[in-house]
Formats: sequence, structure tokens, C-alpha cells
Amino acid sequence: MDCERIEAALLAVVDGRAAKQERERVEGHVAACGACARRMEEMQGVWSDLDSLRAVEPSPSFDARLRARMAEQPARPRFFEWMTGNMRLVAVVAALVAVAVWISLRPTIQRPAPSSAQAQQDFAVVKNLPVLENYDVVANFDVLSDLPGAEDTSTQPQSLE
Amino acid sequence: MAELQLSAATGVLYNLDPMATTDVELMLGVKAGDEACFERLLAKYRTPLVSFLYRMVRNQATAEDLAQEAFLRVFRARKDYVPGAKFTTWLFRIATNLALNSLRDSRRHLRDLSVDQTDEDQGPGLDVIDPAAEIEETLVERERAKRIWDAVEALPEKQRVAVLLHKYQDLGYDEIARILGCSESALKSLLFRAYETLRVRLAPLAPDATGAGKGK
Repeated sequence: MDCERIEAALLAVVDGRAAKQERERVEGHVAACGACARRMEEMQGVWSDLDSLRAVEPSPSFDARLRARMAEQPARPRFFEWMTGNMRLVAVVAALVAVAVWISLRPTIQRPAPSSAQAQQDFAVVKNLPVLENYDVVANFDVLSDLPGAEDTSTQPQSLE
Repeated sequence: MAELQLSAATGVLYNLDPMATTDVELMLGVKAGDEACFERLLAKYRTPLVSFLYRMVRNQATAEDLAQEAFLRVFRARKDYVPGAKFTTWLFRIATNLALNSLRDSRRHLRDLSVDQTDEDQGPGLDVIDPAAEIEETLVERERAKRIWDAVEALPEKQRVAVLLHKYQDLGYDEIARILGCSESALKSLLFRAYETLRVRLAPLAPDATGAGKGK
């Protein structure tokens, strides 16, 4: 086992997680290698130093405060909590709403008001609409045959009857 | 009846009930509406979780708030619980995310606080150092402890979490790797770099270092 592999295995020996076989291999190498022995000693020093990061006990009111929070918390996340957890969806919805608002508020194309002559013509068309519903009149509308090119009627129905 | 068991590897006190079923069984009990099961999970992991979070955020009130939030999230998710990964993996993953978010949210505020005082500057906590030892504690020892805190705090976030879970929690490499969302080999590499950084930063504190405590 070379020093590089030993270095990678040192931590598991120091923290006590190494398997027996691995530990014995490392310890055997360290006994014969001054550099790795020093390395291991330094690692053990760091491990011991970290013992000074003190632990804390939860305060006596910890459980009571937790139960109070459990009582006041809804079973499901609150709306704003849900929103913060789904920011992508919220962003998409916000973008869609913004587009909808923009479309509804954008200036509409102003069409010119129809002239009075045009209005009268439109009114006449509307007024004569019942005539078009009378199929007898339309079927015998001879005036159409007087129009230029009216001879070629082979593809047109002769009558609506 | 609950009893305390000291983990040989990490020195962490765990509340263990002789009648205890596995965490997964307890969580299934919580899912079925058995509040006693939740109480047992709470009793077992309350202290390890608060201690882990305290070492992350260096403030007991914040650590307790975050621990409560972690338990709340477990409780709220009970209906959707499906036995899969170990309960501790789930719990510490929640706690890790909460701690990292808290640190990120309050980084500027914490920086201001660190200039003045954090909990450990005000003296030891509730349980570890007995009153007699506290009285005998010298300024040098306090300075030494502060340097170690600072060295750990200066680690990159992921390395810091890895070291705290590795050093103080009774978790295997595979479980820590799952908590951090990385492979076991990546975790070992992460830990190696973290301890190497700590070794360099804490070298002045070594007993054979000349003028211990002056080198940083």
C-alpha cells in the first residue's frame, strides 16, 4: 500500500469507520512510514480539536413550542409557502396574466365610421333580405340571363326547385 | 422507558427506547395517526438535530427554530410518507437545506453579528462544560475554541455540512453521501479536502507548534 492510498484511508481509521482489515493495513504502513505517521497524527489532532465545538441541549420549552407550531400550522402548505416552492409555475402564470392584460389594454385599431351613403346602401341590403329568402323569386330571376357571359350556365343549377 | 445511549464513534447522546421499533416503523405509525410515534422520533432526534443545526448556524435560538421547522415538515409530510431511504437521511437532509437557506438569507446579518458576538462567545452551552470547568476556562482556551469555530465556519458550505455530519452524527459514509446528494467517493474526496484545510488552518494550535494560538 503506497502513501497516496494510505492518505485516502487515514480518515476512516481516525474516525473509527474503517473495517478491521483496512485499519490493520493502514496501521502497519504507518508503523514503518514516518511521513504517514505524522500525517495520521495531524489528522487525529484535527479530529480532537473538533471536539471543542460544543453541543447544545434543546431548551426546556422546545417541545411545547413545537406543538404550538404544529397546532397552528395547516395540514397543507400555506398559499405563499406553496408559491415560494413553485416559483417556476408562478412565473409562468404571472407571464400569462401579464400578456392577457396587455392584450386587453392595448389600443384597438380605429376603423373609420361608415359614410352616410354607405350606411344607406347597407340599410337597403338589409331591408331586401326577405326577398332573397323567397326562392321562387330567385329561381325566376331572368335579369341574370341578360348579364354578359350568362350563356355559359352548364355548371350552374337551372333551378332551385 | 427511554434511556440515553452514547455513540462510541461520535460521542452523540441518543435517546433509545428498549421497546423501540425502527424509525421507518415509527414513521409509518405517524402516518397512521399515532402521535406517540412522533413523540418517540422527536425524543430520539431532538438533541442531535438541534446540535447539528447549532454547529451550522452558531445560534441556539435559530438552531431550535430550524429544528422545529424540520420536525414540522416531517409531520406535515406524514400522509405522503413512503418507506424508502433511512429516516435519518430524510431528516438531516431537510435540516441541511433549512440551515443552508437560513445562512444564505441572513449572511449579511450574521456577518454583522460575528463582529460582535455569537452564542459561543457568550460562554458555554447548557450541557457540555460543567460549571467548575467553565470557571477555570482561560482566555486562551476561549480563543482556541473560537479559532476552531471560525475554521469550520470558513469551509465551503458543502464541506462544512459533510464535516459536521461526519464528526458529530452517527452516520455512515453512504448515508452522509445521500444527505448531500453525492456519491460516496465524492463524499470521501470532499471530506479529505475539508480536513486537509482544517489541518492547515489549525496547525498553529497543535501542541508542538511554537507559540500555540499565535500563528493565525
